[in-house]
Amino acid sequence: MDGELLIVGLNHKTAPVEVRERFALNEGDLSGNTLLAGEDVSECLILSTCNRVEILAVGRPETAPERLLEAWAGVRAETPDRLRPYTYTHKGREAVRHVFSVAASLDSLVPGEPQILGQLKDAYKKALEGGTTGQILNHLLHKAFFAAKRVRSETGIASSAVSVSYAAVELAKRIFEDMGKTRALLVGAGEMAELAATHLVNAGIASLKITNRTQERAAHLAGRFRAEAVPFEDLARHLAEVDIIISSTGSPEPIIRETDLRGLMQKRKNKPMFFIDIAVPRDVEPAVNAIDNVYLYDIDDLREVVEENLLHRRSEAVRGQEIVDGETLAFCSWMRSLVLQPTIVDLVRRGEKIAGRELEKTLKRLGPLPDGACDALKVMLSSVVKKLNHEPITYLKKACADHPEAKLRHIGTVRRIFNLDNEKQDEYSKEGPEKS
Amino acid sequence: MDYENLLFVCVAFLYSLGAFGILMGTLAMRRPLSAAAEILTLAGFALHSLSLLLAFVTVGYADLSANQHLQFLAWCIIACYLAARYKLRHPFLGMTAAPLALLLYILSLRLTGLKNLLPDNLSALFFSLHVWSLYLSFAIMALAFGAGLLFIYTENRIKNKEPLAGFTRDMPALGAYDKINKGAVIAGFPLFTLGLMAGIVWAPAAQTVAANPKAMLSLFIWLLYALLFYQRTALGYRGKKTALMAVIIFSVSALSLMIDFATFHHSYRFLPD
Repeated sequence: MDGELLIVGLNHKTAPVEVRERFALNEGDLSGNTLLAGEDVSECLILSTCNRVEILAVGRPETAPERLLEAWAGVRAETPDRLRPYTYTHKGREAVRHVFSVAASLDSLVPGEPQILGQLKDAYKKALEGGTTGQILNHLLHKAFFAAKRVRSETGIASSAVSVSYAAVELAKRIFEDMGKTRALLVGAGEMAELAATHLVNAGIASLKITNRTQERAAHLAGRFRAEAVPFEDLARHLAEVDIIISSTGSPEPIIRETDLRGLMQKRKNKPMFFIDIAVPRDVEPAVNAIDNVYLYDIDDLREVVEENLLHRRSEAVRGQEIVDGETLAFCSWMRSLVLQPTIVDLVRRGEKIAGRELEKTLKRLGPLPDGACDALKVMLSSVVKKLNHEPITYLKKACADHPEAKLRHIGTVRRIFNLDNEKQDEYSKEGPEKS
Repeated sequence: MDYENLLFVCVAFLYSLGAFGILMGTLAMRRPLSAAAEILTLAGFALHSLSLLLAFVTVGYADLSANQHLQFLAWCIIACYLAARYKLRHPFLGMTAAPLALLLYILSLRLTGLKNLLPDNLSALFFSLHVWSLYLSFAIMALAFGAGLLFIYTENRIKNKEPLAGFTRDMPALGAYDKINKGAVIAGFPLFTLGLMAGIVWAPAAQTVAANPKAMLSLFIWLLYALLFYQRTALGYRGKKTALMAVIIFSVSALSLMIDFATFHHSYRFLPD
């Protein structure tokens, strides 16, 4: 391993929007290869979104953070001191936990929002194309995507809507079993109503009608949504034919009244109707909600739903953090095993070489053997080597896990006992350096 | 322990785990738990089917004992639940169906040794028709009962603008519950009528008293059922009213069933093996 995992970054919690804008790293501003130029950093990846800018790197923990800050500030012709107050630096285990939390959208402004995972995947793809990632970052990012998937599937962090327009559509899905069979009517043409209509269309409704006091505006919107524009005067007739009504007119009086609707429900054979009243003053009389199979939500109701959903997401984020902590532990364990890997490889190779040499000598002495005898000898020797190596490898793993601060001493002990460094020198002098 | 007892213990054990797992898995929104519980219920159902098949082969349908009848009713409920679950791809109906089937299955222990005394010439046709139709309609209404309860609970929350928190987040739309109610009424009412008619024909032959309070209760259930059938098919009623009706009809039917087995309405007697 060439160094420690570390992150230098800023986000919506540490930096106001003007600072985030100032220090955003757009494509082409700072390449990963620039950061790899010195000896401080061996792997890196740059993530830049509207809410965070982060540089993930593997490098020398003492010098690499400063090197990254210098390069980052340099892109904006600033000194690191101007940038430093807004940034955070995470190293080792904290860095792993942070990356996993970011990928799982636990560190986002709205927990559970899906964009950050896509942005992280894009950043990783660019880093891969630029060849700036190595063994550690590759493994880290794959594990981060895995942790994010687990958090999304094992918690309800992404299951509830956090915008008013989307919350309305989510509510519609709780009323109508098959959105593909529902028909909607947009009454008026406010911005939020348009958004709700967009979500409804995306949810796959069967048809959309649009009516507005200004017929041209209705026709224009109908063109955008591939909907049918209907005259405002025919509102009562069209109400009978639709299931979801989004209303946002500027009318000072309600335009849909309870008394009218009671008769309408009989005509509809009590088929459910869902009114989304985004208008202020309201377009639909509140008493409408008392009619059987009629559901009415106004803007305040929807805002309350969104608030509840946000609370739910935050509580689910706590469960998500538990998953992230578990994955962080597993990753750190893998990182620790990386330190041991060269020694374990040397130990195994040493055993195999000794066994190979001894087998060669023995075969020469024995002369021709019956079929299968040679293979049986090889299998036996391989088994003996594995069993002999088992104890020192187990000792190394356990000692390093129990006393990570003394891992270099333990590795040195094993290398001296088995003479691994002298063996390597012998090999170098005989065969030249090994190709890995 | 003979094979019948062994099968009983295995089925009861699997159904218990299944009912508990489906309830907990659905309420706590732990899909893997409810999925595992469904597999256990399915395994229990397979063993249950085997035990009933063995009973049919060994004693014949007309000679089934009262406990086997109650076990057969439990089997019908699980069979209807599994069919609905396959169609809906959601285990929520198991929340009521699985515990109910388990309860009936365990209660059947109390009826061990009781047998129905039937005249041989009529038992095969009318008694079978009576029991099969009523058991199936009861099982179907059990599903409508579960769907009705969930409809009322969820609709109440939506109407009152209360958050759809907890397990309701993972539940189907109101329309799905209403669809179950409609299907249950359309399939269940003709079956119930057929069962009742067969019972009316069979009762005098079996020398039971047709005009006892239990028979009147059955007639009352039929009237409620007929009203619901009319409301759904002719008047186009749907939603809360029909859900409530289904809950009431099933509750009265369950009461009727309890009276049926508790008072030996169908001339159950202790018979030596």
